[in-house]
Amino acid sequence: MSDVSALGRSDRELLLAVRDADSGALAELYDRHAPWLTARLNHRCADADVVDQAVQDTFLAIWRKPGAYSGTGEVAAWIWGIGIRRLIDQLRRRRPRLRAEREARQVSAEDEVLLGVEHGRLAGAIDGLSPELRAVVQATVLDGLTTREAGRLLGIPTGTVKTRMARARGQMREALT
Amino acid sequence: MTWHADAATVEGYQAGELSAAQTASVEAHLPACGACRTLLAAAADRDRLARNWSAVAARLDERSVTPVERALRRLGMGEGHARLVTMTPAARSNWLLALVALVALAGGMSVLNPGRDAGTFYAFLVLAPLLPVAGVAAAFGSVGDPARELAASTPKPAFELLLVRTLAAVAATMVFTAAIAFPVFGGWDAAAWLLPALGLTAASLALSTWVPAHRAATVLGAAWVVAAAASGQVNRLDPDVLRRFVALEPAGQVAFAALAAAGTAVFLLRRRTLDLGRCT
Repeated sequence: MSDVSALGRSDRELLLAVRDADSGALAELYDRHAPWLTARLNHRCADADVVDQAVQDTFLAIWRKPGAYSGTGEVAAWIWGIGIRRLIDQLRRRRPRLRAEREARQVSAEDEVLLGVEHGRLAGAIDGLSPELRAVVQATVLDGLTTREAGRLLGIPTGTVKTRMARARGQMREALT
Repeated sequence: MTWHADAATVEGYQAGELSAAQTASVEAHLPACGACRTLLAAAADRDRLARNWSAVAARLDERSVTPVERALRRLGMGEGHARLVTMTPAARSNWLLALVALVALAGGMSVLNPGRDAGTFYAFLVLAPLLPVAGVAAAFGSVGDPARELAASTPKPAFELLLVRTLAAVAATMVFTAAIAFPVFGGWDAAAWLLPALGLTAASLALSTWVPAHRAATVLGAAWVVAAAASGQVNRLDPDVLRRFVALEPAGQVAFAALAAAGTAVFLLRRRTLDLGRCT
């Protein structure tokens, strides 16, 4: 489906070439996957420097361990798994500075939720969540992170991730019934 | 795939202007759809992508950092030190494997001979202190050291180099030995190798300020084995063979603790006499 591009080599073929230290293949993978990865990580972290570093680390990780790809599933999904974890690594290293910035941003994020409910019921249910709850749903459901990883990404304890997830579930159930 | 993102959706996604539900739809869709990824790539910030690519390209030839090195750096060790420690032969897997095999042998023998055979236990207590001493020899030995040229040309004082590498080797071997000793043999007398190990290691370091490090370690290690073998031979008919080797008795343990302190003191006092010429 999506694996084969019009330009010739599929993502899997490119990964095999990367295994043989073909840097041209890595460049091709980068051209295909760096744009969406950058955009998606931008939605997780507003600091462009952090995102850029995570994107660079991701492609270096692919360069060094292309064999880590299991051979099944979308290559893009595998890359996302690396990317989000590299972002978490970066965030952990820089956490103290970022936390202050996040707190400064919080107000505008809360304004945003007031614009919420406008689409269908499910969309409304998601949009109706507070930014804190939505971030937890996003990290665990959409990003496929474990509770612990989600906690690291968001800078909150694991227990808080669990309680927020439970609260989000309850709130969405209520909105849908 | 029936649903696809249109240009406006992709643009809104890039700008972060979509609602949470729309954002979630796009993100769930992207990993599975090359066409939409291409659409998104067309709208991406070219300069930023090019900048990041050149940063990646510049680092492609970089040696990858091993997990051990990364862990040491995370613990606050400088990059140079972490590199030195991980390039020490003692920290390299084949070297370590040989040592672990030696200890595992003693442990394995005791498993085959249940009921804590005195002879096996004795062999283990004698062999275990040799490992950190071998670590001292390897810390500066020319054998099997891929960083030898680097070490010989480093402006870092030889003392610091030897100390850092010895600590790494001693810590690595002692952790392994302890991890085997207690589960296999149990009881606090399984720790009887600990003080002789520290004493012999410190003495090797002290001696290395006079003679090359590997020779110092060999001499002391051999002396230890000869003494232990002699004692074992003399008392082989005694069922309580352990008690007959003075080094494993309380008095011997105290003596080795003193040796550890004295050896360290001598090494520190005489550190200026160390130089790379003598250690090769």
